[in-house]
Amino acid sequence: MDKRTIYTNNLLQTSGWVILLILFFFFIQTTGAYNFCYVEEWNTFFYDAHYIRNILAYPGGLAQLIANFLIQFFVYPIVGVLITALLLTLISFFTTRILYKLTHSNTLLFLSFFPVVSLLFLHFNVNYLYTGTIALLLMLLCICLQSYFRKFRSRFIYSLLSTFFLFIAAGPVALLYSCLLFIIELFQNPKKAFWFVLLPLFVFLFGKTAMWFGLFGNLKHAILPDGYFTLRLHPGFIIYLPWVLFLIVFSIACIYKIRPFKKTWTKGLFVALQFVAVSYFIFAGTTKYMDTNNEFFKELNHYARHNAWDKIVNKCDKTPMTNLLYQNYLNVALAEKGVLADNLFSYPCVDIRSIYVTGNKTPYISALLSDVYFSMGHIALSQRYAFEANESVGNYSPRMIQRLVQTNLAYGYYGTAQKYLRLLNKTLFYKDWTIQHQHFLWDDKAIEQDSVLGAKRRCLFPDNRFSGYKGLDDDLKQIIIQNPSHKTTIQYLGSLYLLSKDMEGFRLTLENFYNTPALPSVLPVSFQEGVLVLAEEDSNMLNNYQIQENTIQRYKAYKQHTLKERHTLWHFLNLKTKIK
Amino acid sequence: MKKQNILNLFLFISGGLLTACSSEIKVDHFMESLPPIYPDYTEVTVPPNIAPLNFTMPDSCGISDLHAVFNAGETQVNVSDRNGQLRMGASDWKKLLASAIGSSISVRLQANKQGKWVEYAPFNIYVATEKTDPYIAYRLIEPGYEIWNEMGIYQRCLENYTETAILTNKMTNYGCMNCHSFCLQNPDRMLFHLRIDYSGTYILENGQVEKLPAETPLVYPYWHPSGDFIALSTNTTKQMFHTTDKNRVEVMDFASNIVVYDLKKQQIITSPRLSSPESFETFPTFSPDGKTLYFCSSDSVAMPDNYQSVKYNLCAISFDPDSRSFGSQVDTLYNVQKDNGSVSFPRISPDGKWLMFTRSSYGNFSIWHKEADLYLVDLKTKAVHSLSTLNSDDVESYHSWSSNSRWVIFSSRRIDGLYTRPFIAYMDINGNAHKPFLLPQKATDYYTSLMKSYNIPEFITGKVKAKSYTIGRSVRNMNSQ
Repeated sequence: MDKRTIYTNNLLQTSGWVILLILFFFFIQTTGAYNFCYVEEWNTFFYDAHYIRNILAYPGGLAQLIANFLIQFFVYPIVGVLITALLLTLISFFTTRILYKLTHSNTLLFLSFFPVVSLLFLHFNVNYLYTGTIALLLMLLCICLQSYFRKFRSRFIYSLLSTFFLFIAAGPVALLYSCLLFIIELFQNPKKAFWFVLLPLFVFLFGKTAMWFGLFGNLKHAILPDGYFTLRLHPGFIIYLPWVLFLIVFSIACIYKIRPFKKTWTKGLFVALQFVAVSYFIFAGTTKYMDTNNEFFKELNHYARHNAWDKIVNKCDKTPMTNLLYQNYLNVALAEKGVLADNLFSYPCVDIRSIYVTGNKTPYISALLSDVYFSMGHIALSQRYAFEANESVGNYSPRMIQRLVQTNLAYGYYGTAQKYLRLLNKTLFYKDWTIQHQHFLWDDKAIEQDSVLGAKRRCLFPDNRFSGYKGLDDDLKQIIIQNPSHKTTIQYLGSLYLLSKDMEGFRLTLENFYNTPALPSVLPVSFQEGVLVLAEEDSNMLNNYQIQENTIQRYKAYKQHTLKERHTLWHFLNLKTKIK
Repeated sequence: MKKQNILNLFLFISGGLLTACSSEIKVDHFMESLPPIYPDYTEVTVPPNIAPLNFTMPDSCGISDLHAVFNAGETQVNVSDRNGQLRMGASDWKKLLASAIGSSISVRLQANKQGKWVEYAPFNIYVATEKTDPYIAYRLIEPGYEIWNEMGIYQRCLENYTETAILTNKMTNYGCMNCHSFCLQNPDRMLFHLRIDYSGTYILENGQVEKLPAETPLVYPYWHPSGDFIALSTNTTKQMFHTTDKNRVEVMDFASNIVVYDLKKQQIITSPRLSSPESFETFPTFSPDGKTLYFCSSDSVAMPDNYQSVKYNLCAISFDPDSRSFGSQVDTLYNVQKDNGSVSFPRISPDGKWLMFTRSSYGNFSIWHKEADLYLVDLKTKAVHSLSTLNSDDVESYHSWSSNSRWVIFSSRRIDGLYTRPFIAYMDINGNAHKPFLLPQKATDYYTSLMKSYNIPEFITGKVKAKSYTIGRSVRNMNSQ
């Protein structure tokens, strides 16, 4: 081949990889752009010797450290997408390169995408650990290097040492690596391949030894892909899929080396079949493994984190609101905008779960509940759920630590807030936030003057009780009495009564707070609708509360045609909404 | 020639280092105040077998360099900071300790502030003649609410910084584990409880694990000195969360009784005086001679409404290990209700002279009570006094004695108000507590990074040799049978 041809080939290949990178980027950006900033909420990188030492003390520590280092940049959603696209492209590149070296043919080009596509799907599972992707990349690098060792002895020694290195640096992936090396050797050098059976056995021994040292409680966490999943959960087959596909693809490549297609048309047909199969796999996998509900939840969560309430409302306007988690975020956004009680029934509602879902002890729901209670002004419950969410993910959730700082500052627990601030100060992207909050330490005046912390501190009511023991509504009443200017609380309280169809509780709330700073004379729309319902049994209600003419007319229209005015309390009281 | 050059270079570097280490600093200003070092090791009393006390100065002091001169007898050690931390080598520290036994190490701390060196008033580190037990055991767990993640029972060598796991919940399917207890600080005889998966009470004896066949969940264990009995309580406990109180969590018993488990006969022994429906009995503790069982008792009230009226007295009842019977009378040693308080965790010094307990304003879960303090009872005179030297504005709660009765380790939340840390204090022969010191760590910011609490710190006379893996495997096997 002349230089020009080589140059053209290289250019074509590079262009191909760049196109693949762009395809990955656009696929992720369009299907789950907020997945990676969601990953960052639960994990970031701490520039702290204790933190680094703790991670490196476990097999797979280096891969985890690299993963966490990358994850810190996911604070910007687009960076997460870009880095992931880049990693997947690199994994595709190295897989293709290895397959080419095995077969000296480009016929298996699309085959290498099967494990990568399955890996792509895995990234959208919130319990998958990014470490698994770094581990696979390290493994492929080790396989690439192995091909440079021509002599059996040196290749075997390298394989042995690199298996050990991979186990220490990347964890369970060492087992896949050892199996792949065995498959390659089996087809390349069948007479001596039995020596490579030792490699998986060694990994088994490494795993057992790590267990013996107390590093793992279960062998599957030491040598199987389960180790790249939240350890307490059962991942299902999806976690095994990339590994199984790597084994199948490598086996096919090795068989192809021995019995390659010789005719051009068979090669072409095989390539075409691969292309069709990969395309189908992407299509079917997207349907099966990617949950659009989850991705929308992650997006709403991202906006909530950045107080982008308008974006939440705009997004929800364009989406069927049949999911309780969406409803929770929407109602937080409406409350923060001061229009929850005006728009409560403009969107589908189920019952009080539309305002706060039932806790299920997962960090994801706990974090949502922490947001909801923070919005309500219930600092104790917000702190509790933030603590539990943070604890569930190993205490390194920057978002939950921020909430713990806020709640501890609101309480005036400065020592505890300082501890969390010191921790955040060891990150790259939370330093500014830390500096902004450090000056609140032991400065009650500064806290009281702050629009967020001051408002939350004023929500702490003197009549201490056990949270929710007298009912959440009673806690909220105390917050309103203590801090009538905290407008979200009265909206939540009235909304809770309406959603639970407790009209007596609603009536008492009006009696207690109407014409006070908490609830001025012009009632929110859904509260006016509630007054009209109450007025059916007590006509004095209409004299006591100022109801807008428009609301009265709408109620009349509703009574004539109950199918009209669907987005009202009146409709809600008569209907049961289907939920997911 | 080449060799000579290398030698010269080596001598030059060594000389430079020696000069740097030993050079006297020209102090620009002498201060009268003690340095605000963290952890506060000024004027503390330490055992002669403790690991080096590394410390630092707070960032707020604006210090760029630190230098400390340690003097004990003829021994002098100069230490300069590394990344703001004053860390001493183990051999230098041991020399200092050896020179200061029964006396003190004097420390002069010099700090560079904006280019000028200041020297703080010197402080002492007193070195007692009595050693402490070389190990402590504790549980590391988040100071959380109702859920948990990873936790474990660990041991730490006090003579260096080595921490190893005795058992982590990785080995037991991430269930909860609690209430480890050793018979007379013996590392070869340990009890622990597991919850959720593999739940039960387990005894680890000379590396062998045995599960007690008791059906009732048992807590707050305390070994009889003979090793033949274990006193425990059965508690129906609930956790609730305050809205505004400075104590964010309340853990309370809705019912509780005390039982004694006979390990030889595998039977539970009790007495109506320890399991009365009219009262809550908890925190059993045997006296060192094994003839008295101390415990805490409160009138039973409707819970949780009356949680603040639950006040535990310190009580005692005689116990005859031969006949396995209790006395007919319960003595109230300390009626805390009179001064509006509540007793928890009575612990008697192995020499039988002192009883230390935690006093809070009500209830028995003192770790969540900021007002909780340590008190000492002279068992001869029955006189009770607050251990003000050990107490702080924040929580002091669990505590245990060393095997020679001269040291106590206790948990306190004084550092940050939430995460419990272990403090060790010298108790002299007259029952006077000396200023406690925070368990030293190699890195001075260790406790900032650590997001778990030290729970139930206990002295042990040596290392628990059984591996976490072996214990976990035994537990799993036992439950799969």
